[in-house]
Amino acid sequence: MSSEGAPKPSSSVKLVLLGEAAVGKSSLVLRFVNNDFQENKEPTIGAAFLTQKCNLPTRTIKFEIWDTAGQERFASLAPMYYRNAQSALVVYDITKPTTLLKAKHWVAELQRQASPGIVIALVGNKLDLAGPPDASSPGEEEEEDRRAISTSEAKAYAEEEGLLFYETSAKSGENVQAVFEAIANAIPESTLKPKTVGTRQGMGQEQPVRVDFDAERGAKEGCAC
Amino acid sequence: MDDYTLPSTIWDIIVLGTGVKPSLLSVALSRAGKKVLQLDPREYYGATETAFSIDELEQWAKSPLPPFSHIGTERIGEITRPRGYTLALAPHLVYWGSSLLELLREVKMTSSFTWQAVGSWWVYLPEPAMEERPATGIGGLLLDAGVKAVKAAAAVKKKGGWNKGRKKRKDVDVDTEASAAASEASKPTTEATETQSPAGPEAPEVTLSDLTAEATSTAPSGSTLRKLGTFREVPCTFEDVAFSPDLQDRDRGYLGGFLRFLMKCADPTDVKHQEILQKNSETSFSEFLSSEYPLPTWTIASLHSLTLLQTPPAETKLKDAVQALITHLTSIGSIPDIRSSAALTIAYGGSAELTQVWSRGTAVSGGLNVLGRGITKIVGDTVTLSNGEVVTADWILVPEEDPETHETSETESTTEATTKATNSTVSYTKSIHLISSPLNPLFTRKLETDRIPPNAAVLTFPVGSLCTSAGLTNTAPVYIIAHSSATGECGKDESVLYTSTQILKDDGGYEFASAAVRRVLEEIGSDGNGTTPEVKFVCRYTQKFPVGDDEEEMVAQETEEEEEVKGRIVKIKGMKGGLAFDEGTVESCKRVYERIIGTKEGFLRMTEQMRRQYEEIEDQ
Repeated sequence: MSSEGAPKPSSSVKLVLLGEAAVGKSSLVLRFVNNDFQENKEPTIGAAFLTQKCNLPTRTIKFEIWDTAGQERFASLAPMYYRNAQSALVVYDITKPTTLLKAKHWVAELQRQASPGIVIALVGNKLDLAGPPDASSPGEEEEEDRRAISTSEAKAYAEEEGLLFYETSAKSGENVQAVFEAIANAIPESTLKPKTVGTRQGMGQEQPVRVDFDAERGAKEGCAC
Repeated sequence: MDDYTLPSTIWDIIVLGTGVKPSLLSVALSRAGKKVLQLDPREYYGATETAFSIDELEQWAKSPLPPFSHIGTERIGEITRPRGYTLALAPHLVYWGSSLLELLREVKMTSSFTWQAVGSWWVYLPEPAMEERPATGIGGLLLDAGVKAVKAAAAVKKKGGWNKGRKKRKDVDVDTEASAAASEASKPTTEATETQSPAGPEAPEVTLSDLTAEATSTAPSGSTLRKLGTFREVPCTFEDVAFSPDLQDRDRGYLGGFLRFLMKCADPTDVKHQEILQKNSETSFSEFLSSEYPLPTWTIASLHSLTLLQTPPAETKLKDAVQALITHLTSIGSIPDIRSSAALTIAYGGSAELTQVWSRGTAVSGGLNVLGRGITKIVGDTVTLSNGEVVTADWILVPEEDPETHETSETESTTEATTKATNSTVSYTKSIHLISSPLNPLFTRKLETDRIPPNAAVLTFPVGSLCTSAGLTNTAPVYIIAHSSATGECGKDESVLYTSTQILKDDGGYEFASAAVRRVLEEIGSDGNGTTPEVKFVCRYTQKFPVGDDEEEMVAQETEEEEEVKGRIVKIKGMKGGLAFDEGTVESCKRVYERIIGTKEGFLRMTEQMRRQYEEIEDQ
């Protein structure tokens, strides 16, 4: 289990996914966590959250990635979903203009509900459905360019709101790693050390000392090392 | 967003409501592979067990719907972030030995919550109250001989907890010396003549030596009962009894005897004690104590506070008190991080957090949560939703009494027939006080060995200890559950006091709550410079709760043939109004689950896929 080299400081970071249904939120996570892609993935079913480590030069970030589990529909995301999230991935589909609108709604929601210091990345997914970036090359017109939202438009919005911005393809894997690394890098060191938590709007509390059930488990079953 | 139509019109189960019970059933059934649609006409999770920000509370107060009434809010101090609070309507205590925790451990769900320890119980006891003794005089089973027993037991060094024999049967290391000392010590009491189960690894009973617990071996001097102003810590272990400066030797004997009596009652195989209980089951708590263990009145109030029951000691049935006390005493001493604690509280709004996590659990295992949508009509298996959509389900779970989810105008006669089943209710007045001080003295460690401090505490004002401006005194205890900011419910330099009493508003219920809070602020909140913290915000409300035995609750009584033809409606009774998490909740949900799935086995168990993912996460 031990990693090579000197042990780097490691911290857990809660990351929440947001965005309209079917923009590829879960696919992005699946690509990041398992380097896998499933063509017609069923709506999200599974664990409460997935984890994946992200190794940075000076530290290791362990993402706890929370999927909406479909709760983004029918106005049913619970406050506990946003709570203590240090980062958020707001995803839209570059082939569907309404999804960017929805993404903007979620950004506003995060600014309202989440901790003030939250790192938000805006991600335009399904880059594989867009034509080649060099659109002027008229060579092969076989692949239809289904892009409906220009990079510049989304980027301008992201800059205005102070969000990280990437266009990705969960299908090809393009930029997926990069998004998570960018988030990991953007998380302020200060919020990592004593893992800060707060109430819904983050009232700047220190990590409360909590009752640890592992202590109980350890006592019962002995050391698990 | 509401204009989305549902992905399907055919469901296995429709659960109406997002309170504790509907949410638990929803996730359990969803995990069992059922296609679950969970609805709530409200725009938030938790129903009557929800948690609100100050803004939301103020909004909620404007249009009270049953079971809530007489809601009032008041902003007194300056509140800079009214949206940042998570104030709980159901800040339940969860005993370490409760069926809820047992269930969550079993299905590996404890880590879905942030748990904080509930520290000591404090009772408001001004000096004159300390002098009072019941008029009944001596008598009963015990004489002063018990004193020796208690002291001897407290001197015994043994590792373990109150409930060591009960909870950890496997690894009880029988300390022969301690057992011997204990059994010898208990000889002089009349109880020693009773048949005793053999002490040993298999003995389910709690032995006397267990009682002395960690405290004796680790912090012999640091464990004496504390005092905060007029508030005294409640003696609840043999250790406490042995060293309490407020007890006379005679009282130590009685109290020790009573604690032993409780331990024996905890053993269902102890026929003699079960008989005593049976015989006195309708006797009042105070009557039983005064005749059998003639303790000073304040001790009765102290002991009664551990029950968390809203009735005064003179109106509390012995069987209810004994059951509650056993729960308390079998929990204390077992929490590895904090041996002085018996119960936990769930951060971010108590039971509200359960409802959110469980509802999400429904979604995670393939179900669908829909807020802001209720049911207007149920005919057979066909359900009309409040937005006009029509869906069908094999089973429909609806709250028994909840007007907000009960828009059902034309339900089948089968359901109407069941409403008469149980209609008895009880009302309690409650309040939420936001305090401008962290009230630190309440949240300090009791034992040196406690690795973490408590972040909640219980304060009780016994009968007759509070007075209104009109000269009324309280006829029932007033409870305060104090939460520190570590519960995530308020800001760092604040705390929240949740009050509860059965005294209704018209009888001064709200005034008693205010008076109680004022006492706490004056005696515990003062910083020594004469500055008393203030109440920044208060919300007062009255809530109706179901009462009655769990046995008779719950399942609608449609006839079998009707069940075959029509949809099956199950009415879910609300949670009871206790301050601790309603112990019947898990079992009653299991019964509904059994009715639908055919077995209680596997209730809330993770699916195979989830289990694998969970193990992967665990491995990392």
